[in-house]
Amino acid sequence: MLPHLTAQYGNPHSRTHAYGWESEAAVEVARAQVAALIGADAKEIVFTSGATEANNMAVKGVAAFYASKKRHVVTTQTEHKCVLDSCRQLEARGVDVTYLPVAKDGLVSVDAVADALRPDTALVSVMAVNNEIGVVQPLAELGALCRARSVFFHTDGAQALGKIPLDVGALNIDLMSLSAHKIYGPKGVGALYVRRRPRVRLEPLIHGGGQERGLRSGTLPPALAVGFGAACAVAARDMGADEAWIGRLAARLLDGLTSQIEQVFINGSTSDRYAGNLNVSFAGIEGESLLMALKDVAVSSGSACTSASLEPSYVLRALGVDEELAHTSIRFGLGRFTTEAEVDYAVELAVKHVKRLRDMSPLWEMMQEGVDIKSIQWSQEH
Amino acid sequence: MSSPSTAAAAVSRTDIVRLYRALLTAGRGFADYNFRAHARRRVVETFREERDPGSVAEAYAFGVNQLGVVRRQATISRMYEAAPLVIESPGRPPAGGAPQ
Repeated sequence: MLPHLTAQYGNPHSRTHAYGWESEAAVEVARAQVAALIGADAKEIVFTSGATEANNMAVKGVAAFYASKKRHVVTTQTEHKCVLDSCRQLEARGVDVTYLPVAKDGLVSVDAVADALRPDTALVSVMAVNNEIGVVQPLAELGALCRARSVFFHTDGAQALGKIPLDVGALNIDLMSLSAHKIYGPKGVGALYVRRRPRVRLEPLIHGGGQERGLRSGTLPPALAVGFGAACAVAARDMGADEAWIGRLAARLLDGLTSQIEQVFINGSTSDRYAGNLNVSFAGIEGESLLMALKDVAVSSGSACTSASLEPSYVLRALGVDEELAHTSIRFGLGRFTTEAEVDYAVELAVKHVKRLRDMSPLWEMMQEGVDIKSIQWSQEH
Repeated sequence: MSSPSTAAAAVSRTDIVRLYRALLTAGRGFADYNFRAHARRRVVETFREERDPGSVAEAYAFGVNQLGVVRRQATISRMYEAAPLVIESPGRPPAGGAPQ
């Protein structure tokens, strides 16, 4: 990236001089690197400012282009806020949106999607890996279903890129949102994969000079695009090694927690999941207190987008997780650069504070005595 | 990409050991705890891998390329250092966390 922040400062769209040519060449190399990681053709990659923009483009753009004949979109209740909010915008414009519920393990039922499809469905949008609980949706089945029913299949692949193998051809994916900073690339850049065969048309969000095949006008940031491409190339090389390492860390984390404290619940499927995203609830304690106690460890309850609000996560609510447990949920993120020492420290800290909070919790005491918390009448009748 | 001379000359065991040591030394130069740890782990892992003789030259060339990357990035990381992490303090703080 640094050469593009220093000497090679050319505009990649300038056709008439060497500064432009060298910047364009670098951007095209990056484009090919991104495409290679998902089994796509470089021409199918549209650089954006991130996955949020890509999600907006996919949802709003496809619905708008086919608006005359298609007035329906299918998605799930656990999608990222930018997908859900874009769908809400569509509803305001008269498009019907079906928000499918998920099972207790966080997975959407392929049959439920099939039943929800209508002759005028334009798009099905189901994220590949959930950012809060780490579950992996059945992409292959969904892709095959959508292809058979001639409906476009969009998936938010921000958390999946470079972490699980993705092949847009094999999975019948028509649109996919990608984010650079989720795979150790720079913030501020992402991409939307837009299938060319069969062609997916969409109305651009941003109009102007016609860059990115007219789908996303605006000068590209060569430094960011190059960073994104390099991150993809590294991920392609290291995916196997990362998976082994992160799997080991996740097992260490979970074993460390469950061997020392009881009533620890994993939120989301234990089989169809990405190991690096572990969301657990600790019964009988208050979540915010635990989070503050763990401030030396960069964890979150919910995701960065929702961490400002005090409401329990809508994703956990969609899973049917008990309100009390949802409040005590902590999401541990493990990655390529996480060390065993860090995991051990996180376990030590978490165990210590869960025990401390439980020791002073009257609710925990009641639970130990076998009292059903739900049956308690908290307010007095007058 | 490699010049005719390096392609023709086989990579000797000495070269490999020298590259391994250079990579480990360079990796120790990262100011960032996580990059330091990852560099050490990954270098050791990669050099321990079973490799068929045909791919050694390519792996070696890649290693040389990565050595340049590590050296540059370690230097840059020392230009812009962040505060040390909790996990890095020698007698690291007891898991005290938030005050009561």
